[in-house]
Amino acid sequence: MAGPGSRDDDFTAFVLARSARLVHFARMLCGDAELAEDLVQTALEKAYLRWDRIELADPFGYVRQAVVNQHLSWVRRRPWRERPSGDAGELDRYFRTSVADPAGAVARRVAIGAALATLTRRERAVVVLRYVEDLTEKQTAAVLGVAVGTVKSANARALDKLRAAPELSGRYVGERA
Amino acid sequence: MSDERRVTPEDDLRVALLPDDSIAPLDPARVIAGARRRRKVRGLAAAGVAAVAVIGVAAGGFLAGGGSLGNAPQPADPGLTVPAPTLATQDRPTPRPSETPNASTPPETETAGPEGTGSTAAPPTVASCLQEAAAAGEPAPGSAAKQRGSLDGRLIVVADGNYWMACDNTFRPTPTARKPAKLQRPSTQDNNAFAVAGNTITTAAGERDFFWAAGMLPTGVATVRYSFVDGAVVDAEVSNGFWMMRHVSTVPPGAHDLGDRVRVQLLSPSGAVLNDVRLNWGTQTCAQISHGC
Repeated sequence: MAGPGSRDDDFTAFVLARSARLVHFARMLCGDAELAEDLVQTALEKAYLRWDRIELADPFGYVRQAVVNQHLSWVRRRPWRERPSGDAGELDRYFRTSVADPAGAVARRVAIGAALATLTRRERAVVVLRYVEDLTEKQTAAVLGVAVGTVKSANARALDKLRAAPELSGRYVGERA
Repeated sequence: MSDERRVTPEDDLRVALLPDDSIAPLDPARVIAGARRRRKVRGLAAAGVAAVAVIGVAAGGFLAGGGSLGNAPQPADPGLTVPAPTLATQDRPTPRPSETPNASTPPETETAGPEGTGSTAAPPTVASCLQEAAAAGEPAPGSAAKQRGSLDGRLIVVADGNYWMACDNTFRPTPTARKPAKLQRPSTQDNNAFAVAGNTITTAAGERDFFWAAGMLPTGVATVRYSFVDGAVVDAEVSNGFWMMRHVSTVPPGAHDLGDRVRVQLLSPSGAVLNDVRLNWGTQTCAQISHGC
């Protein structure tokens, strides 16, 4: 049986290998770089306490689910600060500072970030799970605890909004056929 | 003929959302330290709650004169029990996400009337309830709606011939409204029909989760039973084909975790379990339309 040292080693390896990806996922989900780190930190702390049980299953999926749940829960706990799921200013800062690419990556990310900020919380979660995490509609529905039809309709609405966003003007998500 | 694969708009979006190398991994040592603090404080909180529970049961037995702990009266509705002030000395709140070492955006607690005493505002009325639905722009009962159920006056169910909704102002000056729904009995497998409205309130003992819910009783169901992470089991009150439930947790917010969600059981008159489900935290613990979701 693995001892505590081995457990910590395994967990440490997981954090080093996957936490940056989780933070990226959380940033896309909430649109706030600092809040995203809080979300992932909290989810990982909870995962550590259950590591023996989840290690052999799908730890990344477990922590990602915890991030989603925690995100939804935190939004619920901030009723008087409720706002659209993305704050353009925060997103803008994140997307501008996340890369230093002279070939247009910054502009592209700023545009995508601004467009994501126009989505509702659910639409945004669907887009992030579908296109960042590459989950199927069924998997996305399972993570969000909603019906597949809800995912489909939210995804369609989100893509419509992204197409209509002036920052994108049909780039990246194309025009409806 | 071109062998170039057609790039779909969704592919473009995937590329645009790809992570870059600018994000550093979190510090594993810091995560582990945070987890250990979390476990330690949760242990203290559980011990505090257990101690208060023992004291409460003992005091109840003494006051009842039964001379036996087994005769101690149980609260008729533990959901309405606001934690006793003594809890404050033993029950330290579990670190909330905002208290993690790298927290920078503290979630705000919903302030809900005088601490630990509940709202002193007038109980919700049909009119004030409908006003909440109108403000949210939801299809809702019309002006002919009547009150169809009440839990201590603070939680009411309102319905006309087409829609029903519910409102509660136990801890708020203005009602919180449950999302209106069509006037039709849900199936026993419709888990969303049993979603709760969840908010954080401030009591004398600190922050606590406050849950309430209402709905139409599915055919064949006699009891809608909720179980919470603090160990409380609350049977909803049934009236006129509707059910209503309310509960204030005895443990601080943040004590919940995956797998410790709100549990709902639907029981037949004979006690058979018709559904047994744990609500999805977030999507099924935010049934209100007034704020927060």
